Amino acid sequence: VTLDERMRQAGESVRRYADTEVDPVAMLWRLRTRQRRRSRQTVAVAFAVLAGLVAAAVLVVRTPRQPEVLLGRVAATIALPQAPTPRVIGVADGLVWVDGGNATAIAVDPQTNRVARTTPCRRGRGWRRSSPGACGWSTTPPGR
Amino acid sequence: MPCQAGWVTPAGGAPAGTAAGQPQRFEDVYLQEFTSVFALAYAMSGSRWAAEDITQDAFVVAHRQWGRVGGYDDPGAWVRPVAANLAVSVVRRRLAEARALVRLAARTQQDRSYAALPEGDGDFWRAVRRLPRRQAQVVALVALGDLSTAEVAATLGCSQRMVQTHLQKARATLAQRLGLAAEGVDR
Repeated sequence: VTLDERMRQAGESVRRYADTEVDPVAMLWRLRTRQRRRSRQTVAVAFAVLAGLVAAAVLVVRTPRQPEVLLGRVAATIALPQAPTPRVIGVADGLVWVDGGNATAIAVDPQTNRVARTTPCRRGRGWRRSSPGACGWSTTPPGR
Repeated sequence: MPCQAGWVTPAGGAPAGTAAGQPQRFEDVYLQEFTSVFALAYAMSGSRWAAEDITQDAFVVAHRQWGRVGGYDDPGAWVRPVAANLAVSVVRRRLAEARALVRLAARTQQDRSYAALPEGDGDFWRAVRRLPRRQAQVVALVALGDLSTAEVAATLGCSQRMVQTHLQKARATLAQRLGLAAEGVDR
């Protein structure tokens, strides 16, 4: 037997095997099933990824942003020349409200460490600020 | 033309036909070409189950690009090198076998035993699979498709000379391993 004869014989053998042992129609049906399953899997994975992204976005948006709390050390020193005797009276709306002592309430943004707002209080002492309604009270008649 | 890497570009094996006419139906081409693609995958993988998966994978790849492939004169010539590439990829072959094992595990009584190749033919294909990838592809295409070197070159997207070189080396190796006379002329 030569190599060519063996090659021809082996080729015929495999072709015969493929002809008799495998049903192309059944395989086509299986292929279609597989494609449908894969499509469903793709849709499910895409949906899961989308749902995860939406959930993450909602979490990020809804998580209240608290100012960084640094215990045991001074986080920042902010000069308030307009407040000779500053006194912190509360935290509201993400701002630190300071009684300036001269009929003013000063709001400091802890994110930037800068004065965000200055509100005059005619006879302002003992201010309290609600959160988040942006309303102010004082023990003396309201300043505004 | 490069023909060394063991991987071929399917487009290289595609016939010169264009999508000028109506694309053929995928189902028709599948049923027509399945046997030859499966035979190639089976010869090169040595596993019936891996061959089934490799054949399906090759047709899935073709299906994804059916708008183009379906317009070829002979879409099967596009699918065969894809299957040949998948079959020579060890990783893909192992994956196909693993998938097949999972599938088999789910089967119960409707299982049947499948025939195996005759002893001598099985030995021949085992020896082919031990060849370098490209040589194995060339031998499989020649033996299964009864193709000339020109047709194999067109299918694999490389030069006839390269195909002849691979075939010559493969024949010498096979003759030595199988203890046969390497007679015959390259077609």
